[in-house]
Amino acid sequence: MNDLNLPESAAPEAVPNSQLQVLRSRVESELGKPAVILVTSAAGGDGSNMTAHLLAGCFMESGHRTALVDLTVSGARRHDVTMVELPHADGKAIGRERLAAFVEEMRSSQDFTIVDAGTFLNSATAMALAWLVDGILLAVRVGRAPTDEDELMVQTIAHSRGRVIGVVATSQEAVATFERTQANTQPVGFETLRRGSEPLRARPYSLSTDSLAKLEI
Amino acid sequence: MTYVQATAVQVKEAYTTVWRHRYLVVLAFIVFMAISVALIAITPRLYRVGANVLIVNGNSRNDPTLSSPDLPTLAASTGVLEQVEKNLGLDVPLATLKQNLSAKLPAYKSSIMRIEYSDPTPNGAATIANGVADELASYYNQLSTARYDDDLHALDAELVKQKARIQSINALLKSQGGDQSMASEDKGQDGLVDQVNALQTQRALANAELQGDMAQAEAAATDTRTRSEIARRDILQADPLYAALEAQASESAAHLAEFRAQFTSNYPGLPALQAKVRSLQAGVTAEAARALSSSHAYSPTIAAAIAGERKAEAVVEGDRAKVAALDGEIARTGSQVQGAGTLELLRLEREAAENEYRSIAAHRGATLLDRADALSLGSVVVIDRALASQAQIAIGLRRLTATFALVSLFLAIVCAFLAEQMNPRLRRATQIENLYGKPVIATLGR
Repeated sequence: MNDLNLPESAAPEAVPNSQLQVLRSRVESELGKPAVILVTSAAGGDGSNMTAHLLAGCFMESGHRTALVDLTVSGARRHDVTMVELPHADGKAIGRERLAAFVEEMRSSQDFTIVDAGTFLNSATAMALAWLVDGILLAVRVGRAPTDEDELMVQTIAHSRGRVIGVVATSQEAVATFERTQANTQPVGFETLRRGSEPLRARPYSLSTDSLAKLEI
Repeated sequence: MTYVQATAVQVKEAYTTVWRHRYLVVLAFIVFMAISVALIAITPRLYRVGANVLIVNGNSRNDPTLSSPDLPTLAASTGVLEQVEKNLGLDVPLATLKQNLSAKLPAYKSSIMRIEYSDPTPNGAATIANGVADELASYYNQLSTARYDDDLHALDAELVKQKARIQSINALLKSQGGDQSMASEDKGQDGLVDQVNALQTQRALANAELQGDMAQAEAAATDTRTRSEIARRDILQADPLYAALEAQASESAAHLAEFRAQFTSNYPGLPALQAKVRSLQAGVTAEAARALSSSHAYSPTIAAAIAGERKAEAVVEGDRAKVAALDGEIARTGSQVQGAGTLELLRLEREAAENEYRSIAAHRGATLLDRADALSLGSVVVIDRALASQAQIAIGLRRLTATFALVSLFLAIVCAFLAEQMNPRLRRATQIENLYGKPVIATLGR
């Protein structure tokens, strides 16, 4: 159990709180609860990590039981945890079953579970989760040039019949500020769930203002 | 999102776009302004100034045939412009003059026509505009009075001719002396004429008397012939020998006629009978001559008739002589009258020439009045001369520069939007939505 101090750490100055409230409100009205939300992007640096963290913090701040699952490797900068990527070969066969169980578990235990999937095309887990989760948020950084990965991501999500809630436009300045903040400070208020080596161990945490409820899959 | 909100978002996006490309906007503005200044500098400036002319239309019978609608055409006519070029010493093609000249019809119920000219220099524009206005006024007046001038020239020529004619007649009269003794000549002339008239009257009377005497003489001659025949027959009938011979001759002639009736021309007794008849007729003729010439043959009636006939003939001869004398007198006096008539004719001719001269002079005076009337009733007067000014065609230099500045700013902003459009980077929500096919539900970061 760790105490949370989310607003200070998760909402950098570059992101006004009003924007976060708008995002939370749109997601909440779109999906309802409980819901598992996959936050991903087509390219690195688009701010999916920032979006996931800020959205999770916002849900938690609003009194929802919230879990944040971090599938990215960005945490390596912050922790000595081992990021586990499911082998692509058995990602569909094995990973999906486990992920489905994971998603069901998260639905039953949390109001909102935010899965930070990072770059969509680089993560087989993210692609496997696309059709399992209740909604997908696509983060895109304003000012970058469109790439083929954008179209490929959209096509892939469409093929997997994933439900895209909408697109979150992020600014480069906000993303840079968030990453700088995350690199220099230890996340507080909740622990990100890491997938370690075999077997997959996802340890989601229930985020509340009082305590974190450790979950085991 | 309401319409106002959408508009506000669009305006904000536009502002953001311009601000994002502010350096490009500034650079483009500088470039466009530099181009504008260069264009202004190299573009030839045209100055347009105008002169106003007042058109005075006449309504009398003497008003000019030209009317106001003709004046713009007249102002731009080759005749006017050629004269303007000549007066001002211009070296501008006529086509250029016509192209740069503008003469518009007066507005409704207005009599003022404006003549404008465009020229690279203000002074040139004013000079040519004034020159055209002046020449138009002159040309118009010339056209208005042209027909009167033609009349005046013809009348002047006729006056000169009549004057020369009068002078010629005067010289002729002077050479014949008719000019000095005009009164005495008139009296002598009148006497000669009266004399001729009296002589002609006398001749007529003499001629009438001659005709009467000739008729009497003819009657006397006829009477004499009649009386002579009667007297001759009486004398012959009173002569027995003549009677016997005539009886024999008649008897023989009867026998000859009888023989000719009974016999052919081959009858042997016919020639003898014919000879006898001829002999008897010759005897009759000889006896008649003897009897008529004998002393016993005198007839006082015949003698009186013959005397009367000769008297009448003498009277006729006297009348003829009188008529001939009168003819001679008339001819002599007539020749004198003829000599005096030449001078009269000359005087009459001079009088006629003087009358004609006065008539022509009166006509010339009337023509002068008509010409003055036409000048006053129909004319073009320059009432406002063009002044050289810096007024350029379209807008002035300051306004032009300001306009170019605005246009440059507009183009610079357009460049910003063009750059935004050409930039493939994701800048607007619409781009993102088009790319992902999903709405942008939130924005994180400023």
